[in-house]
Amino acid sequence: MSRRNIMIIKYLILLSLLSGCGTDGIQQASIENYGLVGIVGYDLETSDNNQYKVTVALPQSHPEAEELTQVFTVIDKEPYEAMLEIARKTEKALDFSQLRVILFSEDLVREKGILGIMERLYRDPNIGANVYIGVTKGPPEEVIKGDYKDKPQIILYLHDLMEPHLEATFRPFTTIHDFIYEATDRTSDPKVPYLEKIEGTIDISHVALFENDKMVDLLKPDEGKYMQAMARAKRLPSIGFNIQEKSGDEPYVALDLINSRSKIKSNGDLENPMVNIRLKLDGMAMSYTGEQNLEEANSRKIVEDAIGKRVEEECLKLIKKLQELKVDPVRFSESFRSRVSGDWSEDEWRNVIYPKVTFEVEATIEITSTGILE
Amino acid sequence: MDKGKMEKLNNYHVLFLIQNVMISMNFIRLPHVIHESGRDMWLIPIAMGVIVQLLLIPMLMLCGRFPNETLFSINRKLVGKYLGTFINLLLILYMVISVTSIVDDFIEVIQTIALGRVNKTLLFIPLLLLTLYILSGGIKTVARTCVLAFFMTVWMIYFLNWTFEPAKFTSVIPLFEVGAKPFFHSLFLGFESMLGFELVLFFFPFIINKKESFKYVTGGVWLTVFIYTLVCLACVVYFSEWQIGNIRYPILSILRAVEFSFIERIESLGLSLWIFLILSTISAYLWVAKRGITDLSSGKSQSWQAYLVVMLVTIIFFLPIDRVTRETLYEWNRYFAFSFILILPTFLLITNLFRGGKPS
Repeated sequence: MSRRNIMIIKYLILLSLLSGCGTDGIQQASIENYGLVGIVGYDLETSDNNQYKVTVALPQSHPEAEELTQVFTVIDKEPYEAMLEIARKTEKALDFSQLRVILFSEDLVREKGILGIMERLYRDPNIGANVYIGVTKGPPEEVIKGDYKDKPQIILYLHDLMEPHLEATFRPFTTIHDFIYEATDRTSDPKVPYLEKIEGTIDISHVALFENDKMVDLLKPDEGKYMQAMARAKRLPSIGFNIQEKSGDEPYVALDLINSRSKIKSNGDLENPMVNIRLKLDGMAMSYTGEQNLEEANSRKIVEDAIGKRVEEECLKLIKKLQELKVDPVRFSESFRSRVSGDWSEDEWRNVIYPKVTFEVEATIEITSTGILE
Repeated sequence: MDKGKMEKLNNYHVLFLIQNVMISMNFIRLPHVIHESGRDMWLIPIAMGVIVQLLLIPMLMLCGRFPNETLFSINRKLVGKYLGTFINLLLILYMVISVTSIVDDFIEVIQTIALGRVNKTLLFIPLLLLTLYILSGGIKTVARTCVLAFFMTVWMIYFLNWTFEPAKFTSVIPLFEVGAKPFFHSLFLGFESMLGFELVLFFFPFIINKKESFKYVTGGVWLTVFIYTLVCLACVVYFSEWQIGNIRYPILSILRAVEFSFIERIESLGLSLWIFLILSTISAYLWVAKRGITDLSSGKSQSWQAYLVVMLVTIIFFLPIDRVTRETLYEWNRYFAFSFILILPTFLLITNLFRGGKPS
């Protein structure tokens, strides 16, 4: 190819880049004109359970606006149609690429499966995979519209609250991807943080347990910690126990900065199913008020064993609760599925095998230090 | 550049040429295409690698017998002038339609994910102009594009570590849950992502070190297999079976979850860099098509031949046919590729052996 031809091609390539500047009659909005949706909330309409109530929150950047956040609520049969209606209501071009949090009301998730709604959001290429999901006590609208005087605007506040941080590891950090994974996978059930609005703050007070895509029950934060420990969270927030001592006292001890490891092993026998769970927690002992001297190796061992016993009891109690609810957020079933060849049936596991599994928990505790005071 | 010399390709050129021509648009949806095989899907790339390896044997034996000729002239020599020319025309058409289908596919993905409002034509023209530019440098430039494409995109593999959660690793244990039929069906469907290695039949005469080429061709194939397997493993760990069955571009969905404080939505970046993989593939295919036209005409490489093949691609791309017909065309093209790589080299090799076995 001659030099001239190459030059012409180079010019053509440069020219074609200019085409990005063209318009097709509808003006491309500039960034201020985009309504960047930060939160979407779904609720059931109280009078008619076939209607959805969709709430979206978007930041208002205009200097003359009094509120920093715009909130719209629309009622419609189709959640998607409701979004379009909101798009008609706002003066901005609605855009979901900055979506951070999706909220569902407890009524909705208990009444209906939400996989349909989630699928629709998951399908949208504009929406990232790291959008957090929460269940709210009462309508999400109340949480979004709440008055949080000492907090930043609601979108930022809620996003920071839902983001993974160590002190909140008692509850899962469920993203849109995690939820869909766990709801559709044959060996797991979703678990979602549960939000309550208490006066001027939002409190993540419980963990909501799901059976596929329907909520069944709540776990308390303490139970949540054990669940997360068994489900292989690497770090846990501090856990407090009342341990049994020889003298009959029940002194309080807290473990802090916990590193946790867990191993779930099944016998692979669906007739006599058995699961062995080994937990290993090591952390710092805090505020121990009992009779043992933690500086001594022997007495430390006694305390460690006492804590271990406590953990085992709590775990077994939790497992029993999960068995009764027939939900498997820890993925016990995976330990069977990976050992049994042939097709795995989720229904059979839930209704026939799961209730009769015998669980065994062995917890090993190691106190790494006791703080800086004698 | 080493103009005038026939043999231009170094060993590493061969390796990356094979590797990068294989990876193109099909890879972006490979895990979805083979989802029927369930959690054993990561075995499929390995199985495909073995098949490709077996297919390479007759191909390279044939090439070894005609070290200075492309498949186009081998065809004419072995099956006669008329039949040979006919097969060559089919091959040129195959290359051109392959390129069209890749470009079409890529533009569709771009429109779905990144540039929803941009016109097809505006995406098509720069892509083809760039290809034309690469073509003007001959096979060595194509090979260099492949090397560049490899290093521009290979770092994306690092992001797969987002998916590997230790808790879910038990899902990759092969239990053969699905049985043989879905497995082989997925193998058949997935095999299109291995296409590209057959181009060795055409650029073999341009390799400097022909004796060792088998080693490097094999290396290229298994490098691809390695990447495919890694991605399939990541998908098995990261997605539920329902998700793999429903997500059209699993690789982009994996990138979607990657989070940095300084950059968001890596998948747009990944998709933009994918253009390197597309460019390397289509320029290699078009180079072969151009070579075919060279062979049909004077035997001398001229630039109008490159314009002609690009024109052909443009015509097929803008043919006013509906989606269904278009898909059927691409599907038949794929079947043609399967039968061509399966039958033609073996057939030619046997013909050659019967004719006395001597390289002519």
